[in-house]
Amino acid sequence: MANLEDLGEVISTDVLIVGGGIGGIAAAIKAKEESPEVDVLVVDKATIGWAGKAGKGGGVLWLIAPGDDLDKFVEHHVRNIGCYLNDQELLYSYARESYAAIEQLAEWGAKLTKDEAGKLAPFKHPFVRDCSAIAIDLNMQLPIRARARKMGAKLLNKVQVVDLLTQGDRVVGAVGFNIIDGRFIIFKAKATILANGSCCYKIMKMWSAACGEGIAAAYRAGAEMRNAEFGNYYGLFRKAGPHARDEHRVLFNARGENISQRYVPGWEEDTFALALGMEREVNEGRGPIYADLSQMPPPPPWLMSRPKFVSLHKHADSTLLKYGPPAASTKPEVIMGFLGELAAIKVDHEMKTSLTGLWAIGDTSALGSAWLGGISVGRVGGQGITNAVYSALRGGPAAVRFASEAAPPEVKYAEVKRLKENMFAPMRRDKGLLPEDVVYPIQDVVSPIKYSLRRSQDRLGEALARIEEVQQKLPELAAKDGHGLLKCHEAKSMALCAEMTFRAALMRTESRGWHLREDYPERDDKNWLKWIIIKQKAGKMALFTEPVPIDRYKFKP
Amino acid sequence: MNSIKIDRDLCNGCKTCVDACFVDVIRWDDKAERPIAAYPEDCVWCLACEDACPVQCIEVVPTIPGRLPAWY
Repeated sequence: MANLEDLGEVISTDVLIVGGGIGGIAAAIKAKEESPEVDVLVVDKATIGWAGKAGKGGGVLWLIAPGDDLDKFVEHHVRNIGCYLNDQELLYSYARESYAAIEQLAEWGAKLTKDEAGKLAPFKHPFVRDCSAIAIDLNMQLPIRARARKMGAKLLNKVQVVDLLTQGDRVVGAVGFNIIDGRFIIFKAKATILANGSCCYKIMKMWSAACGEGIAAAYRAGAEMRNAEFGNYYGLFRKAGPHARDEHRVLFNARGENISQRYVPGWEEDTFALALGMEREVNEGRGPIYADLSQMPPPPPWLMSRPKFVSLHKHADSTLLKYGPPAASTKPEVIMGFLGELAAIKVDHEMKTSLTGLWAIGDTSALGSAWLGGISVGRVGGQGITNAVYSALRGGPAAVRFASEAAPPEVKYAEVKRLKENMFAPMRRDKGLLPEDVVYPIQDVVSPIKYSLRRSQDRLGEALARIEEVQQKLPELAAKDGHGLLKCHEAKSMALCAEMTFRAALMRTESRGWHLREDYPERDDKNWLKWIIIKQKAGKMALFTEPVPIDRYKFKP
Repeated sequence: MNSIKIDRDLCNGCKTCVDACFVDVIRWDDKAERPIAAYPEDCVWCLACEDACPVQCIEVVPTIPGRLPAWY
């Protein structure tokens, strides 16, 4: 009889967490707290503690602090940001529990803004109304990883998970490979939590880890997606790199006219309006756009609670001075870069997906949970890390409760063999395409504002056709080793994520939030108070709608 | 392409850079017992390795500008 062990290394666990960024590690801790005897294994393609996005920059975390008016925030968010596509119950719950998520981070050892007495010191959010923020320093995953280890969670590095294993509509584990030695690994798990991020298309360099592999794997396993059309986050980039830093207030065109004031006169950050404005300036011949660093306001006091961040950026500045053109350090040219953040796995209030045995937390489901509504994730600056922890507080224990009572997983030899053959296909080709032969064309389609922000039927059709052209080339991808294979699967996942975003955008024939259709410029509540759901059916991408249960919610149009 | 310079004499073999690199550019050379920039074409100039190195023996030399897709 055929043994799974003949195909590869078999690792059994109760709860498999795919992705060891901030969400994954947090879920591991909460899972072990819920039930210390349950076996928990976190897997990441990089090294846990350094993996993912959060540690790269830390940031300003969004929260509802004591003293904030919760109802006022929710109402403002639903009416003006999420535009009634929010799951308002989840939004309330997230907002209500956001402070506890921050306290939890602090308890685990993350460095957050504190007052002189050592208490958490949130401040008014610098660019979103009716809520607060708190600053967090870089590399917060290191102390949190130590806590996860202490509680008995197992950590496995340098393994890319490529596909999920299914038993009917139940997910029973995953398959992947070690990127160093190429070993094929079969994970048998009673419950699986996807925590391996959104898709950012490798455009924002420090978010290069986020290629949507978990979203792609969940889609192929039959899980539903939601709000894919809102995976169109844009952010200011410096052309010379490495990052733009709060420069949206000091932007000028080639004539020296202040375009920050022209397009975003208020204090709330409105990247949508700024992106359209910058595009117009350039298209009408008044580009390029630059940031006048001499006009930057002095850094706020709370920046001092991020000393590692401050020092990393000083370091980046001195590297830029050494190797870049002089203007890059005084008046850097800026562009509106595509960050994407397709975060579409549909989940319920416990972060459970449409498949039995599968949860999706953090950036994998930040749009799919619908707490944000009809907007891309970046509009509520700083929600990412808070969401990672909040969703881990929910999903971790829920997965454990399921695992404690679930039947042992049954994994089929034939399915594993098929997935293994697909996984290693690029390594059986002597010649073929490199990952960048796929990644660059994808980036070139998702980035332009005319495709991803200022949308129309014709241009969305063009964008989709270009993505389909890329997808036809995927079978030609070749890899010489584990590193190449890793990059191939990242590229494939990106193509699928781009397809989801454009198909959903084509379907939504109205404008809402950051989904702007020039051919349907008005919001259409009569026909479009609905979520667009994506699911694989008979090998094809099927799209259908689900009404927003607006009658159940507090705020109606 | 960015390039990564590693001073192997100054390096103390702590492997922090191998851990810190989240895009699998830096690997461990078992024979030399030192890190090696095995896949510099995938370096994204995040500065994690350079910043984390306790003896400052790594320098990432960026190519400026890097590749950025057209946005308009």
